[in-house]
Amino acid sequence: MISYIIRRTLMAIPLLFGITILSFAIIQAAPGGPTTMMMDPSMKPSDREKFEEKYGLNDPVHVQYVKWLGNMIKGDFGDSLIKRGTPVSELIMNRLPNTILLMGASFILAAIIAIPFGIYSAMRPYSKLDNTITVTSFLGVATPNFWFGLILIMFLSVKMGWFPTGGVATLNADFNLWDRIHHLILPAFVLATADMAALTRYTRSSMLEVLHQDYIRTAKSKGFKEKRVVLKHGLRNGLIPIITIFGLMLPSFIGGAAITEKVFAWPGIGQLFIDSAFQRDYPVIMALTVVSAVLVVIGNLVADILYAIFDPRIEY
Amino acid sequence: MTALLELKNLKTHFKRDKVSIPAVDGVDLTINKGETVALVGESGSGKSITSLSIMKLIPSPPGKIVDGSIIFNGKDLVNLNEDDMCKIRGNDISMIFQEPMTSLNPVLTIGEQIIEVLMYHQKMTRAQAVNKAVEMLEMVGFSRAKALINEYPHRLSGGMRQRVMIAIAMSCNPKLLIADEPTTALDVTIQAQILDLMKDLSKQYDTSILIITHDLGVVSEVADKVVVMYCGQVVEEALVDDLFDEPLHPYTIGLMGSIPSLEDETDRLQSIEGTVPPPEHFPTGCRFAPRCPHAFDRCREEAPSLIQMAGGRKARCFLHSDKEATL
Repeated sequence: MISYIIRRTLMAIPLLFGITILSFAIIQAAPGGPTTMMMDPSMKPSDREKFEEKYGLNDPVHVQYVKWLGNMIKGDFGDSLIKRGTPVSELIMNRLPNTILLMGASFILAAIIAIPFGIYSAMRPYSKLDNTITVTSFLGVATPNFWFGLILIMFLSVKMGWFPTGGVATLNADFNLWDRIHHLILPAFVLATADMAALTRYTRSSMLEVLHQDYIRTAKSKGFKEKRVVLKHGLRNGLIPIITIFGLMLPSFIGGAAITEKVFAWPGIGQLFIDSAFQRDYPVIMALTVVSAVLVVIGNLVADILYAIFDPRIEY
Repeated sequence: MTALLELKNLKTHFKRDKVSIPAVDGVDLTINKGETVALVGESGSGKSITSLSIMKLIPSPPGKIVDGSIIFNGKDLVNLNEDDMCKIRGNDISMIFQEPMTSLNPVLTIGEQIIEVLMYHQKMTRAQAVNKAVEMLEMVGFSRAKALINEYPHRLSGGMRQRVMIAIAMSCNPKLLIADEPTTALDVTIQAQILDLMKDLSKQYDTSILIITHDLGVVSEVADKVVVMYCGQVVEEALVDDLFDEPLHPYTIGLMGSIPSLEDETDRLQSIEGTVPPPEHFPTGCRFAPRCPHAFDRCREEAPSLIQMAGGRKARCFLHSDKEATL
């Protein structure tokens, strides 16, 4: 097991390396640069050149990349070009906990809502509730996050006043757990919807397949009631493919988080990502790319390990 | 001998596109205490549906027992509610299936799959159940039963898995064991071992067995009584020796004729012409008539009833209507 984890981690290194090359190339290929976004009228072209000189923005792309890579390996992501003087790592570390909180909450929300509904749908396929769940899931998949978020803000926050419109906590207030949860509910729910809907569908089809297996008939022939047959004999088998889905869902969570954070003014890395992408803040973009790539790699590794725990047929 | 299980005019129908399809159409069957009854017939003759009806495990919808009764130990299972049926399944009546490779749950240990039944029906503590599970595994012929408890099914071969299935089925000491083609998926050598094991256990525990098979070799090996089914109906019933000495129904004769013989020098294998018609296309008159070499006009117009004959034999055929026993 340990050697498997080490092997997998080592395999992730060339992957991450490739991701950095690609994203570096893409962001450099995008038109404009950090200086074009600095619309300060008092900035003379000579100042701009000085700035570019100072931060090495005039070097050829591959030289810039090698420099960046060298620093990154030493753990130095550099300073933000826009918020001058602020180390990128500080920017990220201030915001990463918020994003992890949001993603974690949505993830758990998606799982605890989607899995029971999926199981029920599989137990009573084509029943009224199953059809309702199916239609709702498709609506959930088809609804864009940002739109759904705005609608919820409009009705539940602005009109009804039930929830705050954004942010992680009431400004200038002391830490208060309920206040934090209150702020978390809407963004977590919005971020969870699309994956919740997809997960319901996956759970349904996986359980539907499992419930037609011979060992389910065996469990029934042992005299167990339906609940026990489904939960003890069906669920563990049905969840095995779902674990893979969890791993695959992580990137969509990170992407969805960026948009949801923007809509709900949630100070997480997603919002930072969007802002720095528009400002061509290269060091921040690259650092965030590495962080999210690492998160995805870890997520998939965890999924693979869980896979082996749930399915005794898998051996390392 | 007292009857343990009595099926009376059992009818199990499946609904498809609002049409009711009679998969089992009026089956009468009696199994006495300690007796082994073989249910024989081609694929599609309704033998498996009969056995699943006894367990009340017909997938519903679309399947439903529409008529008849299943008297088990004095109780009619047809009217029993699901909760009471759960107390009987796995405890008084247990079942083993055709596919040992897929009939065990791949993510639960072998021990757990036996233990859960014992804890559920016999209200044993986990420790008692573990001991009993080891005992059961030893009884079905595993020498390293203790280690096997913690292993998963994928490490076992088909024959070993079928032994585990038998251990599970026998663990609560059932009155009736239903074996649905228990040896079809196994090697011939393993088949004999599994059949011997079932025979021994049934003798030891006085368990009745309903064995469903299309293999007449299996029948001659284990059965006391044979019931031949065709198109959802019983067409012949006889003690095993009588049946092999003198099969009465042309369908049974055809089945017997299909057994390849070492003495015969012919190259071609014998078979019954045609195939079993699907239930929605059952012919009027005798259902076997279109494939029967002896069919005459009456067979095509009128459905024969099951004729009771001397010596407890029964056959559903006009050829034997003169032998009807006067009761």
